[in-house]
This record gives sequence, structure tokens and C-alpha cells, in this order.
Amino acid sequence: MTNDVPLPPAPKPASNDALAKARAAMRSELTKRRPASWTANVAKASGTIIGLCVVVAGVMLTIGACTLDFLSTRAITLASLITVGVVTTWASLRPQGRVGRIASVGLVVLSAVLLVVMRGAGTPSDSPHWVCTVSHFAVGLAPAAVVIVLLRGMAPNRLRSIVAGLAAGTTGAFVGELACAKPAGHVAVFHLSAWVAVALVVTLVSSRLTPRSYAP
Amino acid sequence: MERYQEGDAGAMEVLFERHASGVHAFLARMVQDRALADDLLQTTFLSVVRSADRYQRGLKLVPWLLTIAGNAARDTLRKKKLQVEVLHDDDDGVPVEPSVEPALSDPGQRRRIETAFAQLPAQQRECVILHKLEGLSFEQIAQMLDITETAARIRAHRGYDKLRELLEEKN
Repeated sequence: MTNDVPLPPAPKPASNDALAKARAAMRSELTKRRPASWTANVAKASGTIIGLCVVVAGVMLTIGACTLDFLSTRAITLASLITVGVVTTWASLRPQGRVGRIASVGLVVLSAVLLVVMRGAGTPSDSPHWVCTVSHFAVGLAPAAVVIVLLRGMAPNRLRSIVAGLAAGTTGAFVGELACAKPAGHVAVFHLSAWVAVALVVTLVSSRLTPRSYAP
Repeated sequence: MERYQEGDAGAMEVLFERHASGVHAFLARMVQDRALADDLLQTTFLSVVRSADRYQRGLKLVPWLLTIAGNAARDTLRKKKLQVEVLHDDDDGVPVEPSVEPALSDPGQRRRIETAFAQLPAQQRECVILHKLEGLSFEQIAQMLDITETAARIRAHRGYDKLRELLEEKN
């Protein structure tokens, strides 16, 4: 047997002072308004992602930067990005659900492959490649801020943070589908790197914040 | 917990009465520091109140509470980069409060076990506590720690091996 080793004796019981202090803190917390449920938080984050995508698409249509015909040619990738955004948000914020989070990373990879494959030859352009990376990253920062705040309401978990970051990053990829016609190679390098960068920022920032709760 | 979720605020008091001591004992073993365990007890129950909706009906309550306590302990140890200090006799003569009740038998052996236990990496120590002292299955531990059952088994067995090795060195 590997577990037949002796272990330390039982710890001293908690002092009355420690128990009283913890009880008082708990009572004080009980007097506050109950925090939003995790499902409400999923709705909030998903709403931010979908809302941002809709606003960007609306603005681009309004100023003539893209047309409805163009949107219809990208319907599959745009719909897949919205779906991925919602699914990854749910997977990242729900209690437990490690398998779901791993599966949602797989979904992101599939979606990224779809973006590259569907782009094909594209249309070369004179604008610098990095403009896409920077703009997609910047668009992803707003939902990133929302998910970082929501992640503080649960125990720190790297996979959870990565998935939440990938959810936020879908907004940048969505903008890339609306505003860029460059070929597949450009998408693979300059669009996907922005997506990954948003995920890294969320992971890094959330690992440095003190959570408000350590619940799984 | 389900009663609290249905709006019975008093249910949280009952939960505290029933489980605070057990959670504290787990934390004291995890962090090997009574004062820190006191603080983490508070953090644990604040987390329970703040995240009551994250408790899913049908879950066993004690493993859920210990998951929260373990998460808080691990994060605190990581952030403070706390090297768990073994409760040696203090060189300056300042009395140090032991974290465990004095055992009736062989105090030297008790100290050796305590010293070795404190030297385990936090992840291994946690798995050993949950498996051997809390009596949880590896499946439950895996769920609690958000790892695979194999990983939980490996962590615990590495903990047992390391503990045995340390005790043999000291003997």
C-alpha cells in the first residue's frame, strides 16, 4: 500500500474568536444584496459580445464600409463566431464543467480553421497587416473587461480564464470577417494572433486579481 | 444550501454551525498556520454566501465547501509565495503556537510527521488530506480540483511516497 504512512494528528479546533469573526463577516455579507446568478452573468457577457458585434456591423453598414450582399457571403463564418462566443462564454462562467471548457477550446479551433479555409484566396490590399491585429485586439478589450470582472466571482482557474478570453476575442474575429478581405494566410497570422492575444490578456489579468469568491 | 437558495437566510447560520469547524481543520492542515487558517475560514464562508447560486442541487455539500476552502488556500499560498514553515523550536525563544493538539504518544515522532507533512507540495498535501483524512474518493477529489481522476490519484500517491521518503530520512 502506498497510503499507509502516518499523518499528523487532528489540528487544534478553531478558536471561539476565529469562529465569531468568520460568523460576523458572513452575517454582514448576508445583509447585502444577493449577487447576480451565474446564468445572469452568462447572459450579461454574451449580450456584450453579441451587442458589440451587432453595433460594429450596423456602423459598417451605415457608413457604407460593407454591404448586405457582402454580409451574406460571410454569413457562415459570422454565425459561427457568434455561436462560438456564446458557447465559450457559457463554458467559462458555468460552475464545474471542465469537459465543457475543453470542448469549447476545440470549438474555437474548429471555428478558426473555418475562418481560414472559407477565406481562400481573398483580395490583396495595400493596408498594413498589423492594422487588423491591433484593431481586432482593441475591439476585444471591451468584452475582455466584462469577463475579467465576472471571473472575479469564482475561483481562479487558468482554463476557465483562457476560454473566457477566447469568448471575448470572438468580437475581434467578427470585425475581421466584416472589414477585411485579405487572403487566408493573413487571417491565419494577423487575425488569429489578435484572438489569442485577447485570451492571453484575460488569463494574465485575471490571474493577478484577488477573487471575490473561491467557489468552483 | 438548497434552503438558502430558496430564500431562507437562517439556513446559512445552520450551515456555519455544522461545518465551520470541519472546514477550519481542513484549512489548518492545508496551510499549516492557524492564523492563516482563521482568515481563510472567513474567506471560505464569504465565498459561500457570494456564490450560493453556484452550488448545484444534488451536489454533496462537504466536498463543495472543501473545494472552496482548498481554492482559497491554494491561491493564498501561491500569491504570498508562502513557504510553509515547519514549527521548529524558535531560536529567539519566542513561543510558537503549535497547529495541532499535542499527541499523548511520542512527541518526537509527532513532530517528525508534522515536519514531513509540511514539506509536501501544497497540491500533494491537499490530495492526501482529502483522500486519507476526509475520506473522499479520487473521483470526488478530481471533481473538486477540476482535474482528471488519474491526476488526483497521481498527486495523492506522490504525496504518500514523498511523505514516506521524508519520514525515512528523519528516522
